[in-house]
Amino acid sequence: MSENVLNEICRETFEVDSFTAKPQTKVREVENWNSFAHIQFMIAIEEAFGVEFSTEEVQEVETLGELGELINARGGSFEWN
Amino acid sequence: MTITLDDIEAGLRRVIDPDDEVVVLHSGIWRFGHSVRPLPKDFVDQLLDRILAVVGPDRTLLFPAYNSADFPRTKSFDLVRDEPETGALTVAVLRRRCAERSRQPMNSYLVMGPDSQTYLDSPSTTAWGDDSVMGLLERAGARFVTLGEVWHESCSYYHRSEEICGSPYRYYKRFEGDLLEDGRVIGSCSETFFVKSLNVHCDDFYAGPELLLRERKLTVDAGDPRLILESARVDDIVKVTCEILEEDPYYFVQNREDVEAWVEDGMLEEIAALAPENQYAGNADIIRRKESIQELR
Repeated sequence: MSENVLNEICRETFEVDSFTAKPQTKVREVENWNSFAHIQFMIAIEEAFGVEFSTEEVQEVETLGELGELINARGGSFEWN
Repeated sequence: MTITLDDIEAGLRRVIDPDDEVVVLHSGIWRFGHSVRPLPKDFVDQLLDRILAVVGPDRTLLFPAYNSADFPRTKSFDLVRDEPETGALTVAVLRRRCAERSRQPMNSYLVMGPDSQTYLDSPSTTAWGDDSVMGLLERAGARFVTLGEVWHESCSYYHRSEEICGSPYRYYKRFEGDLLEDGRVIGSCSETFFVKSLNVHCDDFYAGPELLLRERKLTVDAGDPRLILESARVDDIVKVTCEILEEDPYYFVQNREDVEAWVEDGMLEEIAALAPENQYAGNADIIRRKESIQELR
Protein backbone atom coordinates (compact mmCIF):
# COMPACT_ATOMS: atom_id res chain seq x y z
CA MET A 1 0.00 0.00 0.00
CA SER A 2 2.72 2.48 1.10
CA GLU A 3 4.82 1.48 -1.87
CA ASN A 4 1.96 2.09 -4.27
CA VAL A 5 1.52 5.60 -2.91
CA LEU A 6 5.26 6.21 -3.17
CA ASN A 7 5.35 4.90 -6.73
CA GLU A 8 2.44 7.11 -7.72
CA ILE A 9 4.03 10.22 -6.19
CA CYS A 10 7.33 9.47 -7.93
CA ARG A 11 5.58 8.99 -11.27
CA GLU A 12 3.69 12.25 -10.93
CA THR A 13 6.47 14.40 -9.50
CA PHE A 14 9.31 13.22 -11.69
CA GLU A 15 7.05 12.75 -14.70
CA VAL A 16 8.13 9.20 -15.44
CA ASP A 17 5.89 6.57 -17.05
CA SER A 18 6.71 3.77 -14.68
CA PHE A 19 8.45 3.61 -11.35
CA THR A 20 9.08 0.84 -8.85
CA ALA A 21 10.31 2.02 -5.47
CA LYS A 22 13.04 0.08 -3.70
CA PRO A 23 14.57 0.93 -0.30
CA GLN A 24 18.03 1.33 -1.82
CA THR A 25 16.87 3.66 -4.61
CA LYS A 26 18.62 7.01 -4.30
CA VAL A 27 16.17 9.87 -4.70
CA ARG A 28 18.69 11.90 -6.69
CA GLU A 29 19.06 9.06 -9.16
CA VAL A 30 15.38 8.95 -10.08
CA GLU A 31 14.95 10.01 -13.70
CA ASN A 32 14.17 13.73 -14.13
CA TRP A 33 15.27 14.49 -10.57
CA ASN A 34 16.21 18.09 -9.94
CA SER A 35 16.37 20.15 -6.79
CA PHE A 36 12.94 21.68 -7.26
CA ALA A 37 11.28 18.37 -8.13
CA HIS A 38 12.85 16.98 -4.94
CA ILE A 39 11.07 19.60 -2.87
CA GLN A 40 7.77 18.96 -4.66
CA PHE A 41 8.27 15.25 -4.04
CA MET A 42 8.88 15.71 -0.31
CA ILE A 43 5.85 17.99 0.06
CA ALA A 44 3.68 15.42 -1.75
CA ILE A 45 4.99 12.74 0.64
CA GLU A 46 4.15 14.93 3.64
CA GLU A 47 0.60 15.41 2.38
CA ALA A 48 0.06 11.76 1.48
CA PHE A 49 1.35 10.36 4.77
CA GLY A 50 0.15 13.16 7.03
CA VAL A 51 3.62 14.05 8.34
CA GLU A 52 5.82 17.13 8.46
CA PHE A 53 9.55 17.23 7.77
CA SER A 54 12.04 19.88 8.73
CA THR A 55 13.94 21.71 6.01
CA GLU A 56 17.09 19.82 7.01
CA GLU A 57 15.31 16.47 6.71
CA VAL A 58 14.06 17.41 3.25
CA GLN A 59 17.65 18.11 2.18
CA GLU A 60 19.23 15.12 3.89
CA VAL A 61 17.05 12.23 2.68
CA GLU A 62 19.14 10.14 0.30
CA THR A 63 17.34 6.85 -0.27
CA LEU A 64 13.71 5.79 -0.36
CA GLY A 65 14.52 3.43 2.53
CA GLU A 66 15.57 6.40 4.64
CA LEU A 67 12.44 8.22 3.55
CA GLY A 68 10.25 5.33 4.76
CA GLU A 69 12.01 5.41 8.14
CA LEU A 70 11.59 9.16 8.34
CA ILE A 71 7.86 8.92 7.63
CA ASN A 72 7.52 6.43 10.49
CA ALA A 73 9.67 8.54 12.81
CA ARG A 74 7.37 11.50 12.16
CA GLY A 75 4.28 9.54 13.13
CA GLY A 76 3.22 8.32 9.73
CA SER A 77 2.91 4.73 8.64
CA PHE A 78 5.15 3.35 5.93
CA GLU A 79 5.80 -0.32 5.21
CA TRP A 80 7.67 -2.06 2.43
CA ASN A 81 5.78 -5.02 0.96
CA MET B 1 7.46 29.32 9.07
CA THR B 2 6.34 29.73 5.51
CA ILE B 3 7.83 31.98 2.86
CA THR B 4 5.96 33.55 -0.03
CA LEU B 5 7.12 34.97 -3.33
CA ASP B 6 6.22 38.42 -1.97
CA ASP B 7 8.66 37.87 0.94
CA ILE B 8 11.43 36.93 -1.47
CA GLU B 9 10.76 39.90 -3.71
CA ALA B 10 10.78 42.26 -0.72
CA GLY B 11 14.07 40.73 0.45
CA LEU B 12 15.66 41.13 -2.96
CA ARG B 13 14.70 44.80 -2.98
CA ARG B 14 16.50 45.21 0.35
CA VAL B 15 19.76 43.53 -0.66
CA ILE B 16 20.15 45.19 -4.06
CA ASP B 17 21.33 48.78 -3.77
CA PRO B 18 19.69 51.40 -6.02
CA ASP B 19 23.17 52.30 -7.29
CA ASP B 20 24.10 48.76 -8.30
CA GLU B 21 24.61 48.49 -12.04
CA VAL B 22 25.57 44.82 -12.20
CA VAL B 23 23.99 42.02 -10.18
CA VAL B 24 25.18 38.40 -10.07
CA LEU B 25 22.65 36.14 -8.44
CA HIS B 26 23.48 32.73 -6.99
CA SER B 27 20.59 30.68 -5.67
CA GLY B 28 19.72 27.50 -3.84
CA ILE B 29 15.98 26.95 -4.06
CA TRP B 30 16.83 23.55 -2.66
CA ARG B 31 17.54 25.20 0.71
CA PHE B 32 14.28 27.08 1.20
CA GLY B 33 11.73 25.69 -1.26
CA HIS B 34 10.21 23.44 1.36
CA SER B 35 9.10 26.52 3.32
CA VAL B 36 7.45 28.23 0.36
CA ARG B 37 3.66 28.10 0.49
CA PRO B 38 1.88 27.89 -1.77
CA LEU B 39 4.46 26.12 -3.95
CA PRO B 40 3.02 26.20 -7.47
CA LYS B 41 4.42 23.89 -10.15
CA ASP B 42 5.80 26.91 -11.97
CA PHE B 43 7.33 28.41 -8.83
CA VAL B 44 10.79 28.67 -10.38
CA ASP B 45 9.45 30.65 -13.34
CA GLN B 46 7.44 32.88 -11.05
CA LEU B 47 10.54 33.47 -8.95
CA LEU B 48 12.50 34.37 -12.06
CA ASP B 49 9.79 36.88 -13.03
CA ARG B 50 10.10 38.49 -9.60
CA ILE B 51 13.89 38.67 -9.86
CA LEU B 52 13.68 40.26 -13.30
CA ALA B 53 11.15 42.78 -11.98
CA VAL B 54 13.42 43.75 -9.07
CA VAL B 55 16.60 43.99 -11.12
CA GLY B 56 14.85 45.78 -13.99
CA PRO B 57 16.02 46.35 -17.56
CA ASP B 58 18.62 49.00 -16.73
CA ARG B 59 20.95 46.71 -14.83
CA THR B 60 23.10 43.90 -16.11
CA LEU B 61 22.14 40.59 -14.50
CA LEU B 62 24.21 37.42 -14.44
CA PHE B 63 23.49 33.92 -13.23
CA PRO B 64 26.32 31.42 -12.75
CA ALA B 65 25.73 28.53 -15.16
CA TYR B 66 28.67 26.38 -14.12
CA ASN B 67 29.09 22.81 -15.13
CA SER B 68 32.55 21.68 -14.16
CA ALA B 69 32.01 17.94 -14.13
CA ASP B 70 31.16 17.06 -17.71
CA PHE B 71 33.46 18.99 -20.01
CA PRO B 72 36.79 17.34 -19.11
CA ARG B 73 35.17 13.99 -19.94
CA THR B 74 32.95 14.83 -22.92
CA LYS B 75 35.17 17.53 -24.42
CA SER B 76 32.07 19.26 -25.70
CA PHE B 77 30.03 22.17 -24.37
CA ASP B 78 26.57 22.95 -25.73
CA LEU B 79 25.46 26.48 -24.95
CA VAL B 80 21.80 25.48 -25.15
CA ARG B 81 21.57 21.84 -24.15
CA ASP B 82 24.13 21.50 -21.36
CA GLU B 83 22.24 22.28 -18.18
CA PRO B 84 24.10 24.10 -15.43
CA GLU B 85 24.81 22.44 -12.10
CA THR B 86 23.95 25.67 -10.34
CA GLY B 87 20.33 24.91 -9.62
CA ALA B 88 16.79 25.03 -10.89
CA LEU B 89 16.68 28.80 -11.27
CA THR B 90 19.64 28.87 -13.66
CA VAL B 91 18.12 26.01 -15.64
CA ALA B 92 14.91 28.05 -15.92
CA VAL B 93 16.87 31.05 -17.24
CA LEU B 94 18.55 28.82 -19.81
CA ARG B 95 15.27 27.24 -20.92
CA ARG B 96 13.48 30.56 -21.20
CA ARG B 97 16.26 31.79 -23.46
CA CYS B 98 16.06 35.23 -21.95
CA ALA B 99 19.82 35.50 -21.44
CA GLU B 100 22.93 34.77 -23.46
CA ARG B 101 25.42 32.24 -22.23
CA SER B 102 29.10 33.03 -22.08
CA ARG B 103 31.36 30.55 -23.81
CA GLN B 104 33.46 29.26 -20.96
CA PRO B 105 32.67 25.53 -20.94
CA MET B 106 32.91 25.03 -17.19
CA ASN B 107 32.37 28.42 -15.53
CA SER B 108 29.90 30.00 -17.94
CA TYR B 109 27.39 32.70 -17.00
CA LEU B 110 23.93 33.51 -18.30
CA VAL B 111 23.91 37.24 -18.92
CA MET B 112 21.25 39.81 -19.73
CA GLY B 113 20.99 43.59 -19.69
CA PRO B 114 22.78 46.61 -21.07
CA ASP B 115 26.38 45.57 -20.42
CA SER B 116 25.97 41.92 -21.41
CA GLN B 117 28.43 42.04 -24.26
CA THR B 118 31.30 43.02 -21.95
CA TYR B 119 30.87 39.74 -20.10
CA LEU B 120 30.11 37.63 -23.15
CA ASP B 121 33.29 38.94 -24.80
CA SER B 122 35.55 38.36 -21.81
CA PRO B 123 38.77 36.70 -23.03
CA SER B 124 38.90 34.56 -19.85
CA THR B 125 42.52 33.58 -20.30
CA THR B 126 42.02 31.69 -17.05
CA ALA B 127 38.69 30.93 -15.37
CA TRP B 128 39.21 33.30 -12.42
CA GLY B 129 41.84 35.66 -13.82
CA ASP B 130 41.84 39.40 -14.42
CA ASP B 131 40.13 39.14 -17.83
CA SER B 132 37.62 36.49 -16.76
CA VAL B 133 33.95 37.16 -16.03
CA MET B 134 34.86 37.07 -12.34
CA GLY B 135 37.61 39.61 -12.90
CA LEU B 136 35.18 41.86 -14.76
CA LEU B 137 32.58 41.50 -12.02
CA GLU B 138 35.20 42.52 -9.49
CA ARG B 139 36.21 45.58 -11.49
CA ALA B 140 32.58 46.58 -12.00
CA GLY B 141 31.87 46.36 -8.26
CA ALA B 142 29.04 43.96 -9.12
CA ARG B 143 26.55 43.02 -6.43
CA PHE B 144 26.77 39.34 -5.46
CA VAL B 145 23.44 38.08 -4.13
CA THR B 146 23.00 34.73 -2.46
CA LEU B 147 19.38 33.62 -2.40
CA GLY B 148 18.77 30.65 -0.15
CA GLU B 149 22.26 29.23 -0.31
CA VAL B 150 24.94 29.45 2.37
CA TRP B 151 27.97 31.51 1.40
CA HIS B 152 30.49 28.69 1.38
CA GLU B 153 28.32 26.80 -1.12
CA SER B 154 27.40 29.73 -3.33
CA CYS B 155 30.21 32.27 -3.30
CA SER B 156 32.64 31.21 -6.01
CA TYR B 157 34.48 34.55 -5.89
CA TYR B 158 36.77 33.19 -3.19
CA HIS B 159 38.47 31.31 -6.03
CA ARG B 160 39.27 34.60 -7.72
CA SER B 161 41.23 35.54 -4.61
CA GLU B 162 42.97 32.16 -4.62
CA GLU B 163 44.18 32.86 -8.12
CA ILE B 164 45.22 36.46 -7.32
CA CYS B 165 47.15 35.26 -4.28
CA GLY B 166 48.65 32.29 -6.12
CA SER B 167 47.39 29.71 -3.65
CA PRO B 168 50.28 27.27 -3.27
CA TYR B 169 48.11 24.15 -3.51
CA ARG B 170 46.85 25.00 -7.00
CA TYR B 171 48.31 24.93 -10.49
CA TYR B 172 46.94 25.58 -13.97
CA LYS B 173 45.23 22.98 -16.10
CA ARG B 174 43.78 23.66 -19.49
CA PHE B 175 40.71 21.88 -20.89
CA GLU B 176 39.62 22.14 -24.50
CA GLY B 177 36.87 20.76 -26.70
CA ASP B 178 34.06 21.54 -29.12
CA LEU B 179 31.61 24.39 -28.70
CA LEU B 180 28.06 23.49 -29.73
CA GLU B 181 24.84 25.40 -30.09
CA ASP B 182 21.77 23.20 -29.80
CA GLY B 183 23.61 20.15 -31.08
CA ARG B 184 25.54 21.88 -33.88
CA VAL B 185 29.28 22.37 -33.62
CA ILE B 186 30.03 26.09 -33.99
CA GLY B 187 33.69 26.12 -33.02
CA SER B 188 36.02 25.20 -30.24
CA CYS B 189 36.25 26.32 -26.64
CA SER B 190 38.64 25.99 -23.76
CA GLU B 191 39.02 26.95 -20.15
CA THR B 192 42.06 27.06 -17.92
CA PHE B 193 41.45 26.34 -14.28
CA PHE B 194 43.62 26.94 -11.27
CA VAL B 195 43.12 23.40 -10.01
CA LYS B 196 43.91 21.39 -6.90
CA SER B 197 45.69 18.04 -6.91
CA LEU B 198 44.03 15.06 -8.52
CA ASN B 199 46.19 12.70 -6.47
CA VAL B 200 45.89 14.16 -3.00
CA HIS B 201 42.41 15.08 -1.86
CA CYS B 202 42.21 18.66 -0.64
CA ASP B 203 39.55 18.88 2.03
CA ASP B 204 38.55 22.50 1.70
CA PHE B 205 35.92 24.54 3.48
CA TYR B 206 35.22 28.00 2.19
CA ALA B 207 33.86 29.57 5.33
CA GLY B 208 35.28 32.66 6.96
CA PRO B 209 35.35 35.57 4.53
CA GLU B 210 31.64 36.22 4.98
CA LEU B 211 32.19 36.64 8.73
CA LEU B 212 34.83 39.28 8.12
CA LEU B 213 32.62 40.93 5.50
CA ARG B 214 29.79 41.09 8.03
CA GLU B 215 32.10 42.39 10.74
CA ARG B 216 33.14 45.22 8.44
CA LYS B 217 29.52 45.87 7.52
CA LEU B 218 30.17 45.07 3.87
CA THR B 219 27.18 42.74 3.57
CA VAL B 220 23.50 43.58 3.27
CA ASP B 221 21.08 41.15 4.86
CA ALA B 222 17.42 41.03 3.86
CA GLY B 223 16.72 40.65 7.57
CA ASP B 224 14.28 37.78 7.12
CA PRO B 225 15.10 34.96 9.55
CA ARG B 226 13.24 32.45 7.37
CA LEU B 227 15.57 32.81 4.44
CA ILE B 228 19.24 33.27 3.62
CA LEU B 229 19.21 36.35 1.44
CA GLU B 230 22.36 38.45 1.59
CA SER B 231 24.56 40.46 -0.70
CA ALA B 232 28.00 42.02 -0.94
CA ARG B 233 30.05 43.68 -3.66
CA VAL B 234 32.30 41.26 -5.52
CA ASP B 235 35.29 43.61 -5.15
CA ASP B 236 34.82 43.61 -1.37
CA ILE B 237 34.55 39.81 -1.32
CA VAL B 238 37.74 39.44 -3.33
CA LYS B 239 39.65 42.03 -1.27
CA VAL B 240 38.68 40.57 2.10
CA THR B 241 39.44 37.03 0.93
CA CYS B 242 42.85 38.12 -0.36
CA GLU B 243 43.60 39.64 3.06
CA ILE B 244 42.79 36.30 4.67
CA LEU B 245 44.90 34.34 2.19
CA GLU B 246 47.84 36.71 2.48
CA GLU B 247 47.90 35.99 6.18
CA ASP B 248 47.40 32.24 5.74
CA PRO B 249 47.59 30.79 2.20
CA TYR B 250 46.16 27.49 3.48
CA TYR B 251 43.23 29.10 5.29
CA PHE B 252 40.59 27.12 3.36
CA VAL B 253 42.41 23.79 3.56
CA GLN B 254 41.33 21.46 6.37
CA ASN B 255 43.91 18.70 5.82
CA ARG B 256 46.81 21.12 5.67
CA GLU B 257 49.57 18.64 6.47
CA ASP B 258 48.67 16.28 3.64
CA VAL B 259 48.31 19.07 1.15
CA GLU B 260 51.50 20.83 2.22
CA ALA B 261 53.37 17.55 1.85
CA TRP B 262 52.04 17.16 -1.68
CA VAL B 263 52.95 20.77 -2.55
CA GLU B 264 56.44 20.04 -1.29
CA ASP B 265 56.99 16.65 -2.89
CA GLY B 266 54.32 15.84 -5.47
CA MET B 267 53.17 18.98 -7.22
CA LEU B 268 55.94 19.36 -9.78
CA GLU B 269 55.59 15.72 -10.73
CA GLU B 270 51.83 16.11 -11.17
CA ILE B 271 52.29 19.17 -13.39
CA ALA B 272 54.93 17.35 -15.46
CA ALA B 273 52.55 14.42 -15.93
CA LEU B 274 49.79 16.57 -17.46
CA ALA B 275 48.74 15.49 -20.94
CA PRO B 276 49.92 17.96 -23.62
CA GLU B 277 46.39 19.35 -24.11
CA ASN B 278 46.15 20.08 -20.38
CA GLN B 279 49.44 21.98 -20.17
CA TYR B 280 49.32 25.72 -19.63
CA ALA B 281 52.18 28.18 -19.95
CA GLY B 282 51.26 29.85 -16.65
CA ASN B 283 52.61 26.83 -14.80
CA ALA B 284 56.15 27.84 -15.78
CA ASP B 285 56.17 30.52 -13.05
CA ILE B 286 54.92 28.03 -10.47
CA ILE B 287 57.60 25.53 -11.49
CA ARG B 288 60.37 28.19 -11.44
CA ARG B 289 59.29 29.39 -8.01
CA LYS B 290 59.24 25.89 -6.60
CA GLU B 291 62.57 24.94 -8.13
CA SER B 292 64.27 28.03 -6.75
CA ILE B 293 62.92 27.23 -3.27
CA GLN B 294 64.30 23.69 -3.62
CA GLU B 295 67.69 25.05 -4.72
CA LEU B 296 67.84 27.35 -1.69
CA ARG B 297 67.44 24.31 0.50
